[in-house]
Parts: sequence; C-alpha cells; structure tokens
Amino acid sequence: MKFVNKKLKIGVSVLAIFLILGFIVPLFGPENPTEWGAYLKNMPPSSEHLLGTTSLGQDTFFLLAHSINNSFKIGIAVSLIATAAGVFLGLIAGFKSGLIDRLISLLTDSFIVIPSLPILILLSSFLKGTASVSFIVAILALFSWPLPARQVRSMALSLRERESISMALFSGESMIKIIVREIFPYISGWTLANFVNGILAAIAAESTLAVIGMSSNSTATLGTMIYWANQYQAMLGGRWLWIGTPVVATVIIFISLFLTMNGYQEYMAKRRGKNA
Amino acid sequence: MKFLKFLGTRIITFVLVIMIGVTTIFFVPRFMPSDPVENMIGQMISKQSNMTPEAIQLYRESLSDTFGLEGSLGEQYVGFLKKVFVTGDFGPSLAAYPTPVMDMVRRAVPWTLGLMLTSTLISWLLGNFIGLLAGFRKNKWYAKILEGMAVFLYPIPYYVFALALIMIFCYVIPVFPLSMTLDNMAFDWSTISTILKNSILPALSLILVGLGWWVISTKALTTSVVEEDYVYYAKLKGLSQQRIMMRYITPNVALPQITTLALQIGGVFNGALITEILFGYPGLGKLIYTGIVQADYNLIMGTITISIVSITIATFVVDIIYPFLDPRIRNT
Amino acid sequence: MLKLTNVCAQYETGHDVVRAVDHVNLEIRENEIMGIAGESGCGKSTLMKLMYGLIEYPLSLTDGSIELKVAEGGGRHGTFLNEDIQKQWWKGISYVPQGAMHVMNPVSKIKSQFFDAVCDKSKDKKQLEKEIAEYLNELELPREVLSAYPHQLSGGMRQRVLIALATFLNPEIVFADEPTTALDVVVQRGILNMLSRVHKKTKNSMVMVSHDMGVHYQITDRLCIMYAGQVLEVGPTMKIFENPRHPYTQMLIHALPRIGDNSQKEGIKGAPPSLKNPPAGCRFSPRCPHCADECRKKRPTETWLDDGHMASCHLLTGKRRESFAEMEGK
Repeated sequence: MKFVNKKLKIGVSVLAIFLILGFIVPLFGPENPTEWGAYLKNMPPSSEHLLGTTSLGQDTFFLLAHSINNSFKIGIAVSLIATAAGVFLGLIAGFKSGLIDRLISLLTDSFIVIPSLPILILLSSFLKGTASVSFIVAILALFSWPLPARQVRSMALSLRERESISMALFSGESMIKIIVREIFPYISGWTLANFVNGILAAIAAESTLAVIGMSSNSTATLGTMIYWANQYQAMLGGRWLWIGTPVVATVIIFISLFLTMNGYQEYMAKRRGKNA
Repeated sequence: MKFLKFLGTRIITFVLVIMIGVTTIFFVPRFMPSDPVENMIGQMISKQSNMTPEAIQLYRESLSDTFGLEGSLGEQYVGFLKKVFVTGDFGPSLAAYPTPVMDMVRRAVPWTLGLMLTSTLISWLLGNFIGLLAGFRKNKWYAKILEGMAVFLYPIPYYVFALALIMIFCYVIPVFPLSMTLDNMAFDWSTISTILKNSILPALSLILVGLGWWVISTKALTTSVVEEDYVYYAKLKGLSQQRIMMRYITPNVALPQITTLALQIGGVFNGALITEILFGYPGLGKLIYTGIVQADYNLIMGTITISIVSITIATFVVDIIYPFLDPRIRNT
Repeated sequence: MLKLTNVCAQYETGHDVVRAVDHVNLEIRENEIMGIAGESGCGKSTLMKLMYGLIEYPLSLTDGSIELKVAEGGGRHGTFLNEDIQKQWWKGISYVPQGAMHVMNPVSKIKSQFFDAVCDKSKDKKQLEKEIAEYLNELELPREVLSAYPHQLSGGMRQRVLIALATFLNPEIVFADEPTTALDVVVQRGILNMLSRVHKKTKNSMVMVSHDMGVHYQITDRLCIMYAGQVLEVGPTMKIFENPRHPYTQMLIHALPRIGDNSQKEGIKGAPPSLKNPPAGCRFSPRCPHCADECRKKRPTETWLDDGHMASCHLLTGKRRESFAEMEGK
C-alpha cells in the first residue's frame, strides 16, 4: 500500500461512486426507467424525482443510473474481449517469431491506423439504431484489440531476451508453461491497466455512436440518453438536467477511469522499482 | 537500403489497410439478414414519398450496381474494387437525385480538409508548446496546472466538447449560430466571415480534443530530452536557456511528434465526423449523416469509402515524410 | 590561473548529505596539463564541476573558494569567483566531455554545433565557417565533418570534434572529462596526441580527469590523486610515478602492469568509504596496510616534500617517518 498515489486514490474513489450509482442504485428505482410516459413530463427536481423528469416522462435520475449501468456493462464486455484477444495475439506474435509474427503485426498495424469510426457508422447504419447490444459489443471489440496486441507483442519480445526466459526456452520447457509461469505474472499488472483503458475507449466509442443515433437506441446508455435529449431539443427547451447530467457523468467517469489507469501504472512502476 | 526496407513495409501496411477497409465495406451489406437493396428501397420510399416509380427503378438498379450484387462473389468483389480505385463512381445520390455522389463528396472534402488541417495544426502547435513548457519548467506552478488541465482534457470523448461548446456558446451565451447557413457561395467578405464564424466552434472543439494528448505526450518527451547529455553539454557551452530550448530541446521533441501525428490523423477524422454532425458543418461527416438519415446508401458507401481511402493516404504521407525531416532516420 | 582554497562541497539527496569534496587545495598553473586521478566515486568529477563553476542544486559549496584569473584582452586580467566562473564559459574556460553518442545534438549538423558555441553574431556565417574549417585542418580533421550529423561520425572522430569544439575559441583552461574512456587503445593514443598538440600550440592549461593512470603517465605534467573526496597526493607526474609517497598512490602504481614484470598484480582490498559517513581520521585508513592508531583518529596534514610534491599521510610526519622511509628503501 506504500506506493498508492493520489491519482489512483481519487480515480478509484470516484469510480466506486459511479459503480454504486450504476449497479446498486437502479435496484431501488423503477423496473424499466426507459419506459416513456411513466411520469409527468418535464418536472423540476423534487424529493420524488431527484433530477426531475425528461420530456419523455422518464425519471432523469434513475434513467441516468440505468444508462451508467449499461455503459459500464458494454465497456467491460468490449474490454474483456479486446484485452483477451490482444494479449493472446500479442503473445503469439512475440513468441512465435517469423511468418506468424509478421502476419499478426501487419494486421495489428493496419487495424491501428484504419479510421474506425466511418466503418463503425457503416456497420450500424444498416441497422439504423436497432442494433442489439451484443452486436454493438462485437463490432466495438473488433476495433479494440490491436492496441493491446501491439503492446503485448513488444513486451513479449523484450521478455524473451531475459535470461530466465531464454534459459527456460533452451532447457526445453514448453512454451505454454513458460508463458503461464514466467510471462503472465509480468504482464498481468499491465493487462489490468489496459483493461481499464479498454473500458474507457469502449464507453467512448459506444457513446459516440449513440450520440449520432447509430447505437442501440432502445437501450439506455450515456450516449443514447444524450441522443434522445438532443432529438427532443432538450437544449432549446432548457432541459439542462436531461442533457447535462449524462454529459457531466461521462466527463467524470472518463477522468476517473483515466486517473485510475494512470495511477495504477505509476503504482506498478514504483513497486517494481525504477530498474524494472 | 534500410530506408527502402522501411518504405517497403510501410507500403505493404498501406495497401493492407486500404484493402481491409474496402473489404469490410464490401462485405458488410452481404452479411445483413435481409436483402439490402429492397431494405433500402423500403426505407427510402418511407422517407421520400414523392419519388417517381422511374426514379425508384433507376435507383434500384444503381444500388444493385453500387453493391455489385450481380455475378459471383468473386466477380462482385473485383467489380467493387474497380469502382473504388478506378472509376470512383458511386452512382447518383437519392437525397439530391440525380447529383452523382462523387460531386457531393468533392464539394464536402474541402470543408473537412480545411477544418481538420487548421484545427490539427493549431492543436499540435499549441499542445507541443504547452508540453514543452510543462516539461522544461516542470517544477513551476503553471507547468503543473497546465499538465493537470491536459490530464483532464485527454480522456474526454469528442462529442462532449462539441456538446459543451454548443450548450455554452449557442444557448447560454448565444454568440455563435447553431448551424451553418450559406446563402451564396460568392467569394466575398460576407461569405468568408460566415464561414469563419461557423467554423470557430467546430474547430475549437477539435482543438480541445487533440490538445490533451499533445500536451501529455510532449511533456513526457520533453522531460526525457531535458535529461539528455547534449542538453547538459549545451549548458556547459554557456548557451542561454532560450537557445537551448530553441535549438536543442524543441527539434528533438517536435520531430518524433510528427510520427505521432500520423497515428492521430484517423482519430482526428473521427472527431471531425462527430463535430460536423453535431454542428451541422457541411463536410464529409455531415454528408455521411445525411446519407444515414435519408437512407441514401449510395451516399453512405461513397463517403465512407472515400473517407477511409483518403485518411489512410494522409496517414501514410505523414509517415513517409518523417524520415526526410529527421536526420537520424534519414541517414541510417 | 585557477586556485582552489580549502574547498568543501556536498550533495543534498533527500535526507542525506554526501560530502563529495572535502578540504581540497589545488592550483592549476599556466601552460600545464594537470591530471586528476582516482577511482570512480572519489569526487574527481565533482571537483571538476566545482572548478568549472557549475555549482547548482543538489551540489553546493560549503566552504572555501575557487578563483579563476583569465586575461580579458587589452592586457587586463579578470578574476572570477565560484559560480561567476560561468561567465567565462567557452571563452576563457571550456570543457571536453566524454565523447559518447549523446553529447551532441542528434538533429543538427556539426557545423551548427560550432556556430552555437561561438555565439558571435558580428561575424558573417560564411567567414566563420571558413575559420572553423581552417581550424579543423590544423587539427588534421577533414572539413567534411562540418556537414555531417553526430551519428555519422565514429566514436574517435566525435571525440576529436568535441576537442576542436572546446578549443576553437582558444580558452585559457580546457577541462577534459575522461576523454579517452570507451574508446579503443589505438584511438585513445590519437586523442591524447591531439590533446598535446593543441596544448603545445595554444599554450593553454588543461585539466585531465581520468581513472586511467596510463593516460596520466602519457600526457600530464602534474598529477593529483584523489580518494574519497580528498586530495592525497599532488606533484609532478614523473615524480609521482617514480616515487609515490602516499600508500594509496603506491598501491595504485604498483598495480599497473609493466613490461617484463610477471608478478601477480593485486588490487587494493576493500572498497572506498561511503561519503555519507566517512571514517574519522585518514579516509584511506580502513584499507591502508600501514594503518596505525593516529590514522584512525586524526586527519593527516598536507606535507610538502621537495619540488612541489605534496602528500597527506601520517607516515610522512612524526615518529613513524623514519621507519617508513626505511621500509620504502627495501
């Protein structure tokens, strides 16, 4: 605990608040906060409706909590798939040099520079906002694996040069055993940081698609909440709580995720000592 | 020889990127559960009830042609590649029937290009400047504040900046118009001032999007360059701080940041798309959005293909130029 | 020229204080090459920083003074004290770093590194470049190096360029910090030759910091042996090699290989003391074969022997003097 820094503390605390808001608070709210016309429209904040209601007759507070919940779920799912795939491909590329490495690297590099948003828009435009959440998760994951893959590959390459590992290799130990015993402990810390970063990137990508109506419009996420607020001219009508809360929540969630990742990396670096 | 090898790998990656992009675009409609053409015609008719049956028939043919649905999959694929790389003909647009899609793209590209170029340049320069300052004077209070601000800016997604600027400057303090209205395209002062007035907020949002990253990365680079032997030695030569900053630190920091620029172009374009859509700025982003809203699939296919191809080209141009700017790479 | 009087300096690192230089008296005379020798961590680099006027956090001067006297043109002389020596950087006092890859700006040509150091705006660049090329010619360096980038030069060539760079303005004192380390022996030889040529031509003073006794033997006029932040012995290089007076110097010199000598060489046992908490008396006492009670308790004084040979050791004063001289005679 000695090396826990301020960034990590702030990041994790704020993140914890939002996780509670997203995963525990909805249990006390209405069963389906996205339902239209459940309450009177455009009500100001009150003890009954903490953040008032939307022009669609939803409780803004519980809608927000529900949106945070879905955004996190999408983010975590995408990041899990992308991190796992990235680590797997990166390790293969790093340890099986030669043709396999070159192929994977080429594919990784290509996916990194490809402008992903137009393709994501194209994919979702065929479904026009009726995409299922799992479809959105799948296409986001498709564009999220290359970054971890590239980093894991370069880490694997440098690890291979380490004595302990080349010793193990020369003594004929199986590759899988080496990866599990020697490599994984080393990159697991990094994997966690990358996982957090992946959540951040995935929530960003989903909400970006959602804001222009290209995600799963019927699922409440931070992005779709902004989309509906925009569709119903929340800004023009001065419904600042409706459009403002998801924007503010997004900003705070992103900063706290970033601080968590950054702080965790610094924590790991300090714990390993500067020479590692 | 080393340079040729470098060039070779880059070109292979370049070709592969374009192929992956174009192939994805080709296969997506084919994996859709329903017949894309009929699906689209249906969507189209519901949007544009005033279309004549002839126009619909023409459009059906052009859609089949655009997606190359005639012949075997291999033939279709080759036909599509030809369309992308040789003829560049994506058929007429529905929203502005019978204007060819390519004409609309040609009109939109300068807007996007202008917006991206200016905002990227400003954000790169400003970010590098602040990052250099923050790294060079890292113990000063203002350096810490600047870096702190960058850390807060960096993780925020594009649309938030656009929305926040719209909220503040179009509603709370309405100094800028919400969306662009150009009466005529005459080249006079009023046109220019309208363009400027309408471009400030989109540009500002793009600048803010990029700024955080530039400041953070430049600062990290600067901190390591400052500790290099040559900077220490320059000091022992009795050179002034400004001279060391200008001739030793800045070039050594800014040059590698050009490579980073190449990697960021895709991201900047993503940002530009969102910004254009939210601000109603008449570039490629808005064109894509128009295509989506009006179910104009010729337009969607054309704009997205062009975007991917041109962004990839831009990325690789910057990437290839870099070795000519950095003597360390050029001469090895 | 350059005079150090009772100089004490320390580094502050967090809670610790490292007394890297302790009560050093030293004088660099005109037209001489002064060598500073010692193991790594003995304070020779710190001493050079001090002499160069580079006194800044975490290094600070706690006692004594460093005084530089240089001609300022028109027959006038200027005196500069401690940090003020910086005002003479490159004009009156310059520095040759170890020519590793990274001491030159990787993205600018050698030419502009020269221009940078000259900082004279009155001269037109063409003229200046001509002068630089002429100077390089005198030092037998090809003028093509001017339009090369640092990474295109070999290690030896980089080191030569650095020497040219430091001596172009004809400063009165040139500091050379391990200029031959990390180069192969043949190249080392060339570098040393170049340094003595420059020295003969310009008649400037030179301070050569090196851990390599061979380098000192070849080039220096006088030699200063440092140990744990203190000067143990100073004198004409030949005298020190022929007749070292301090036990540490003796051990250093006896450890050098000689042609025809096949005896087993022994290193000096033990390690230099920590400068955070140095031994009370003579700092070499824990490793000294002649160590006595007084050595552990009392700091030896500087004893001037014949012909400007100084050593600071208890064996040179008091009762033990005769027995030591006798033992040396064997």
